[in-house]
Amino acid sequence: MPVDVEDFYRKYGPMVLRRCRKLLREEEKAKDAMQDVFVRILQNEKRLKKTYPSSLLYVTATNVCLNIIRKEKRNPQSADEELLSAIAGNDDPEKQALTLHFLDRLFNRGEQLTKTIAVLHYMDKLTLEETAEQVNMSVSGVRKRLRQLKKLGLSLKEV
Amino acid sequence: MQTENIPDIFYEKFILDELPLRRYKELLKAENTDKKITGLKESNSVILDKYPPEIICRSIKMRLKEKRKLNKLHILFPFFYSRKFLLVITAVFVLSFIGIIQIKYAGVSAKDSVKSGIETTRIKGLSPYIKIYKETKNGPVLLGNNSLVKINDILQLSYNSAGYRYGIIFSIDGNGTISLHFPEADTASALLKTGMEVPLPYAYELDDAPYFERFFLVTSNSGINVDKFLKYAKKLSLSRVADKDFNLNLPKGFRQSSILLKKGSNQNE
Repeated sequence: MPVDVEDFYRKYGPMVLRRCRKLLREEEKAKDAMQDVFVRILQNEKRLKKTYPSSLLYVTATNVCLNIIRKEKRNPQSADEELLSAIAGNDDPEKQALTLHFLDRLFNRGEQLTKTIAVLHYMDKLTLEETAEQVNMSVSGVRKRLRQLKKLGLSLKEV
Repeated sequence: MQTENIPDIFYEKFILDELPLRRYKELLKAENTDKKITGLKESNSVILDKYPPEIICRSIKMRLKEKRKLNKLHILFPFFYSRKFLLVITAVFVLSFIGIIQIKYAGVSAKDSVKSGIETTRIKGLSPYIKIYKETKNGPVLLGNNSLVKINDILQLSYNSAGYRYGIIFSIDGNGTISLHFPEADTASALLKTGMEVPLPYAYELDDAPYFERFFLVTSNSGINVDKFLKYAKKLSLSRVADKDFNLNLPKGFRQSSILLKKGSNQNE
């Protein structure tokens, strides 16, 4: 679906920035991340569906911010930040390095999606059903990925 | 339903008119929905005023162009982007670079460009600095303080952030004109990249401004208001800027580095 960048930004930019602000808690970084979110979406504009894209932008913003948090390895200052850091850092850094610049994570259903699911479910308090709806997956698929996370050693309480 | 139990995404979708009907009805019944929705609409206006679409979109399009360029290279030469290749090439580059610089540019070190700052450095033994290379028929030549340059010389700037997160690179010429080199726009992010030497994406061609061109790199860890900085730079007296020992008057937490190039007809190759 071809996208008019300005219209798209005007409509969804504020939502994306608010999401990035909430996760990153620094204005400069959030602004930077917001632009990256749009770049990722636009890189795949041909694959964008005509259905409402807010979920995709919200999930992509979560992905981008998790990557930034993981790279920074920042010291958590609140329970939410601790949770975010735990989720963001819960993978093999070598694998991440391999995909750093060129892998199209947005449409690649790999580990990144598992982390995003974890943020939506554990931090944003979406139910399993709501999380599944946001990431366009089945509830059982979401549950399976959260189980995988737990196997990796992340101890989180179910909502 | 309590408002605090409703995830933010549902309110966002509500004002975007992208919420499924079932949830829409739930939200209408919830406490404080009106307040929340009004708050989001106000926030939308504030954000679009602060970050106007025409400026942010220009930056997004530039980033997209760069990404597409990189992706094209990756598709054409996948081998060159394999991890082993990158490790080998990085090692070769670092070793060659150190060797070449030591032999060819003896006497012109990073110290020439680094001015004293207030804070201690983030990476032990290293301060942030800029380097300027001039394009010549024999290849790039590293310029030091007081190097002679002339109109139409092509300069490539690079920087080492030494661990600092934000930075601005600008120059002031003999007419008092300020040129912003990084970030690309005064509203763009001043987030620096890390790396031994990060080149700016575009080279810079000198114009006919007389006497000198002074390049500054200012770094900080707490963010930089680029617009404010440029306004401060505009107020500086040219005679002070032309003095290579002159330092910007910076608040605590900022560091600076600069290189003064002198305009003339002679070459310094």
